[in-house]
Amino acid sequence: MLTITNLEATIDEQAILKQVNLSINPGEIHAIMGPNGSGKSTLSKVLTGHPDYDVTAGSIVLNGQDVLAMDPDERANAGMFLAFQYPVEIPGVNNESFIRMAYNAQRKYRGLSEVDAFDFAQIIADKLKWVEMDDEFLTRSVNQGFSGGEKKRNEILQMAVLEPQLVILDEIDSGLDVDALRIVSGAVNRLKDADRSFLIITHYQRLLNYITPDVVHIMADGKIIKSGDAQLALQVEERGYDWLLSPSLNGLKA
Amino acid sequence: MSDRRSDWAGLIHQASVAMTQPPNVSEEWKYCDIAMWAPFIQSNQSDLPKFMADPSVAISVLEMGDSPFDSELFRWDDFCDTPSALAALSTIKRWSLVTGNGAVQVALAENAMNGVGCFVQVKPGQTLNVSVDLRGSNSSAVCVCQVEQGATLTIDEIRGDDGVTQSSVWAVLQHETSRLHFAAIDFPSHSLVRSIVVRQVGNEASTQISNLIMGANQSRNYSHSRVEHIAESGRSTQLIKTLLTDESLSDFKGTVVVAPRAQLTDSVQSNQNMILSDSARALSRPQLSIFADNVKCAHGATMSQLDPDTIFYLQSRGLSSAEARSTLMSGFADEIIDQLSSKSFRSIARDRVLEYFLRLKS
Repeated sequence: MLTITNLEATIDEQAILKQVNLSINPGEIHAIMGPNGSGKSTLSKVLTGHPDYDVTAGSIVLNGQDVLAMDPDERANAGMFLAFQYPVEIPGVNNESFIRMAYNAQRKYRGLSEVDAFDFAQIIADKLKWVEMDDEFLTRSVNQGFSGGEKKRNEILQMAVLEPQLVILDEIDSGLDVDALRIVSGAVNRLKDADRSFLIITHYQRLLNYITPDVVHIMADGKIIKSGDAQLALQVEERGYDWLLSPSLNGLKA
Repeated sequence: MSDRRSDWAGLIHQASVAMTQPPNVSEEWKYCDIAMWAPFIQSNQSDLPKFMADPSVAISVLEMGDSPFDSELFRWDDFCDTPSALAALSTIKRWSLVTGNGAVQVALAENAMNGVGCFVQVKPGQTLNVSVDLRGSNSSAVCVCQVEQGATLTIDEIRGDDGVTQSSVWAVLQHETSRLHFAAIDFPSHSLVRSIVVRQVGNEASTQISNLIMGANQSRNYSHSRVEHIAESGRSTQLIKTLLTDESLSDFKGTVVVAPRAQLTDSVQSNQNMILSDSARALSRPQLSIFADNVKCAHGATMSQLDPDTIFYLQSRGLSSAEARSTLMSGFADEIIDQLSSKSFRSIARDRVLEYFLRLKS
């Protein structure tokens, strides 16, 4: 589904990603862990086309399409979704109207007719239950006045409605209490199927107690330095990152 | 005496006509000597408060000194601190009373043309919705309001049109636990001036002022607000937004005053300017004068174009760049339009905003 090859990216001429290689097959859940500043969030922004970042080398291919040649909205319409670490607040833009606009933009891209407000209300009502949100969240402006946990649940609500092919979760667990973490991960698991893939960026193994990854990658200094199965996340939880960052001292090879 | 007053009237009328001409550069924001207007502050209507009905009272209030905290009465210079406001007031020779429970449309402009100011009185516990449509022609309107204990006054004002010059003066006195919701939309015009002064004299009063200012071509908009917290536990929220394109100008000055006994005041004032062309200009002067120590007051102004991170967020959901920009601008305006209680005013405002954005795209 997604193939990243020798990806390099900079911001303000400072290299952040340095030769990133990653391949995700349909139905797989990949997790990326790593210390602060390792480039995890940058990878999510570069994948979705944030204009602050310049890709200086490499390629990103999603279902055979050259992602780097696409605008951010084209990437979204091609099936890519990023749940933001810090979702923005948009005063004056009604939450339900916004999600419906996004839903219809993607339908339009696929040559489908737009859904009116009445029909959409039924679609979103079902997905609201996934994230245990009240109707009141739909009547408010996008994320305005939402708590940190509510913003994250609103991201997951959008994911549930849009049903993207590739879901990127950027530290979706940060700032969540145990109950919210259960709700968010429950919605992710509910959306999981054989055709949909997930890339989960996280600092902590605790999220992976709820969502079991097929592959865990460790990222440091703009590169993926080690990949393994779910056991790797447990090792990181137990031992930290030092043993991975100084492999020669530990007799390990990434 | 009557001949003398007649002479005064002629002079004042000439002066006011001269003063309502659109200013070339900037409104001069300063206190004016208004003692000369005192003979016109009078009325025979018994329902009017004594400061409006009896010129000698008004004069005595004027002479009380510099402190605004000595009296619950307005001093006229509290809301006459701009030449245009002063000029508008100078044309008022008598007052009409608006009172009751429910909703009413007030023809402020027509009244003002006949030298009639509007006095709105909301009696204890009552709720009054006042709609004012000042679109269409040159006008200078004056409205003084008294919101009594536990009462709620909602004011919707839409105004402005191509080529017109308008000024409006609002003065609102709020008593204990009263509520004021003031929402206004200013359409692109030649020149618009608004002076709104709110004084909370009773505890736990609440004030909300929302204003959307749209500028285009060479339009000029001068907006002045002054909210005075005189009593305890008052709340006030002011949100003044501008959309400015071409060579338009917005000049906002907002002052929040917290008197020494107005402890536990909670006040927020925000002026958000969205500049949509290289030649548009916004001047912003939010000010606080705080004389109490246990209060929460915030104020600020922003000058910006559309936030790139927010555009990216919308694009990451599938909206094109143009759709994202349009959505953000509409949202920016809608936050104020939604504050209008009148459904027809909201509809008019949305149509004009859409028209404004379509013009931007073309």
